[in-house]
Amino acid sequence: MKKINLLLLIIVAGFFTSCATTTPKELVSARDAYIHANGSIAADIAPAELHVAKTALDKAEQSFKNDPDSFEVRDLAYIAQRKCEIAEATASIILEQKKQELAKTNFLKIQSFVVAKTKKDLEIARTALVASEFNSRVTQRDLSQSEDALAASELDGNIAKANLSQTEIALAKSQYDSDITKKNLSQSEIALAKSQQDGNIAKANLSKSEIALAKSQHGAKMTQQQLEEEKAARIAAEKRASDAQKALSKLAAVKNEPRGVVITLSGSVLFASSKAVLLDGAKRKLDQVLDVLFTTKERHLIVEGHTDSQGSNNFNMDLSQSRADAVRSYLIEKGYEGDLITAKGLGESQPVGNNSSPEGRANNRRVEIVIEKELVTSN
Amino acid sequence: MEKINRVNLMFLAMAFMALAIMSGCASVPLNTQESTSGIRAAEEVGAAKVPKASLHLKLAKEELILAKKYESQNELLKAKSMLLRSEVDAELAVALAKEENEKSKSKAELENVRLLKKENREPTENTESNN
Repeated sequence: MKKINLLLLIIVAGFFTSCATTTPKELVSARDAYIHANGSIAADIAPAELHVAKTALDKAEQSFKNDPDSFEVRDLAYIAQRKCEIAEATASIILEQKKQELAKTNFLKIQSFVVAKTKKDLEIARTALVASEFNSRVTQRDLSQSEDALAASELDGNIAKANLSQTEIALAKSQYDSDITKKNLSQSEIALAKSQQDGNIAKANLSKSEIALAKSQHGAKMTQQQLEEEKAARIAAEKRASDAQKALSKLAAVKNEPRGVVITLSGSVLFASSKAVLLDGAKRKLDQVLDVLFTTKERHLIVEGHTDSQGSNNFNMDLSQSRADAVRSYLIEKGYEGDLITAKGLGESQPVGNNSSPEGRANNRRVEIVIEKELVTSN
Repeated sequence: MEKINRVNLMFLAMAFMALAIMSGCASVPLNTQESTSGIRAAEEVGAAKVPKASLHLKLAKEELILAKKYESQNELLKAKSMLLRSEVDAELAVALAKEENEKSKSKAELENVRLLKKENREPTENTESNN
């Protein structure tokens, strides 16, 4: 029984003891924070701050030992945790500052390198510039010499050109003269040949002329005789023509007009009404007219058919043309040269009388034979 | 009788001194200057714009108010302890804000180096930090 009581006593005492020594969470956090900070770069970079944190933690631990339930333990532990965090932040700041320094150093190094390189490049460029300037001067000098030479050459060239031009002009002139001479020579040759030909022709002509002269002397005698004969013949022909005209005037109406002698034959004598066939009486009359016409055989005749205004215009045109053709055919049949006769149908277009009266219409129905004044120059 | 009087007198004197010391301690006002300065310093370095620093700045302010409250309730030990909390939070806020600033500066410096290298295309030097 005593043992059981002792065991219970120990358990209760242990329970109370454990309750009494419960570590506040702030202290636990502070310890963890210190362990973390001590394992970080803060141990190397910010040892002073870490030491301060350790001191604060020790103070909290001491307070915990003295009075575990005190609010001071929690506050001191809180402060110790913050000090640990401050140590780490300080280490981080120092590290960043070191980074900055390193970056600045590198920046300056690169900058120096760049400056040095730029200087070197500049020096090279300067040297190149000097060389270039020297070359430029040399080139300029050469150029100047070349320009001088060119100018001299151009001058020579101009002189040569001028000489060449003069030579060319002289050559052209010479060629021109030569051409003219050639042309003249050619013309002279042609003229010579022509004159030779003319000479030959002239000789031939002379021979011919001599023959012709002989002939003409003979012909002159003959011509004079012929002239006398022709004169006599013409007088006879004129007499015949006059006689013929007189005879005609007995047969039909005869007028002297500017276009020639116009013989008018009445249509009623020549044709039946509206017909184009010559009546027998008409033929006899035409035979008499032909006797006269044969005396002027070489003259051109125009046979014109005319009608009155009875009937249509087309009909009258056809009828007048048919009648003119009938007269022309008869004259040709009787021996007058066909080429010298022209037949025209003029219808009612050229009336000589009033178509409103029977007498006028009778006068308008007619055939006119025009003996033209001028001779037909068929030959 | 005289001896008793002397003892009494000494006791009275000691009691008086103890009372005087206690009353003197009780009358010492809470020194919040360090906390206030810490808070102001944290604000000046831009702690309010850094999330972690901003948290501790806020804590420092709250703890300062709480310390003053304890003081007003005549709980001086609690007040002093809370004041220490406020001071350390303000100090941490300053450190965290500075850390952020330095990180930004480092980043800018490294960027400058990178740009210079890029512009000149001469990566002959190891300009990166050895993290």
